[in-house]
Amino acid sequence: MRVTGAAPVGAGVPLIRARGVGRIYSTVSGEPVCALDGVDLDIRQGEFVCVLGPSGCGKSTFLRLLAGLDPCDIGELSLAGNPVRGPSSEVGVVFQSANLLPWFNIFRNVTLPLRVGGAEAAALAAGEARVRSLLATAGIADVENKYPYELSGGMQQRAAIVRALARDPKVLLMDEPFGALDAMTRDRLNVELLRIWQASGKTVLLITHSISESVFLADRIIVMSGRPGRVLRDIAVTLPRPRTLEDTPAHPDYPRLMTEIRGLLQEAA
Amino acid sequence: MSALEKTVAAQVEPVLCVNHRRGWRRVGLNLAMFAALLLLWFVVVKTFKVPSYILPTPAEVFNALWAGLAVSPADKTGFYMPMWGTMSNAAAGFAIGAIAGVLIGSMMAEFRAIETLVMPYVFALQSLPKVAIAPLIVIWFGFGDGSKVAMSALLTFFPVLVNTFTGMRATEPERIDLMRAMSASRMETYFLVKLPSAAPFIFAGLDMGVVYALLGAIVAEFLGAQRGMGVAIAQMQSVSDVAGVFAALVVLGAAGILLHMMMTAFERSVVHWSDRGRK
Repeated sequence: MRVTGAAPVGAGVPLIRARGVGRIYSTVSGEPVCALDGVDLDIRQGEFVCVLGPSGCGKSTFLRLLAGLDPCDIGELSLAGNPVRGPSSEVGVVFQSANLLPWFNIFRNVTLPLRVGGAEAAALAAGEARVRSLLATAGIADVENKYPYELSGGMQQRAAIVRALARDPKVLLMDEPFGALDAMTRDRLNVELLRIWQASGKTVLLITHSISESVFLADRIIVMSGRPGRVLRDIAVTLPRPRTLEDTPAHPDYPRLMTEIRGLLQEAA
Repeated sequence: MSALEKTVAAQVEPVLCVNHRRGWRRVGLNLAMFAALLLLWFVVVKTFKVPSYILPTPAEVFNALWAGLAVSPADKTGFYMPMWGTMSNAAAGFAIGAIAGVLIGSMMAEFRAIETLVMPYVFALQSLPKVAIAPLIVIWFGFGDGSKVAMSALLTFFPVLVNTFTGMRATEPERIDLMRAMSASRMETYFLVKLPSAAPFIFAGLDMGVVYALLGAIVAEFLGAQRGMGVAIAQMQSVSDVAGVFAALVVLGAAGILLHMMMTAFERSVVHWSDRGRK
């Protein structure tokens, strides 16, 4: 069973803590490439953090380290006080593409995390109930018997978010989840993501290319430099919540933040 | 709805109609071509007075076909008994070859060590014309059903093996990452992701294999057998019944087409998500 709101995490200790995290790849020709260098970052429970940076700055690399998909050889990376040593059920990942399995219907896809990786059979019923309420929150409860290819890109990505939340993880990691969608669908999904986040109280780390998306969503924006990726600036987004597509861009702080971040990114690239 | 969408929606229906009409026209053209070929065949035989032990007329072939089919299934002179012999051996060999191909192909894709050890032999055997092994197979398995089953299994095995291996290796890395992020076991990743990912490839291999299995059984029968279409063809050849040989080829061709169609239908029902399967 997961322990929610355990005192140590709430009491000032960050949920995610990175100290001097780096990553060196070796290319096919054996040449070492430094993708990430000395990243220090603290993320508190319940925070919505966006990571922005030029292409190839190691944003996705950092996310893969946090998800436990690649080993963290340089620096220290911990989740809820424990060093990250591999994939954990406390972390849900949303990939760049929806990445649904085409041979399963939506319900089978979103409940997959409840059936694999040594998940307890006893927890399945409770998990399925949670997934059904998540499907309703995401507005895709009526398509649970359809196959992924019968759904639009936006609906598929909603299902991917539900799947990432199926195990009720503490952290949701999202790697440019809406990058492949059209602008209108993207706006709508951003609003819904905020709603799901506020309802669930998860900690979210979202990687994006879009300045407006990050300003709209985040409590904090981490702007990264070009390769090797470093944290260039940690910007607090003070825009009031709940945010809406109409009011938030009209707030006086909005253009100031946009300009500041655009300037930083130009400097970074 | 935008103007563009309206235009597209308006065009979809007529396009379907045209396709339908085109389909019928194609069937008509095919039938006309077939009739023309039969006529040419007939004219050539008559004009050059080709003896029927070299090339019979289409009518003679049809008569032989009718004689072989319009009999009791238990009649030994008909096509049913030899077809049953050939098809049952080919089916048994196909099943063995397909299962072995999927198993070994999967193991090679899954374990680098097995790939390294087995791959050179697969390459060597694959470039060998496998029909040339048939005499050896007959020495090892005898003149009975065993050699036919073995030959069918051998010919089915390779395309299924190679396709399974290729298909498994073509699994999208993102899907593997997904399973890893969920701490899925190797077996779970294999059955839930890799095997379904490879399914369209495996079916392409099975589709080839089903025709090869038939070929394997016939080749083994030519080298000596008690029953089967290979025996029937050899017997008709020995009495210069060329019309009968042609009729047997028509029956075998029809069986091959039928098997291919069955495999395609099976693929469609299993791999419903794939473009290849959905067409």
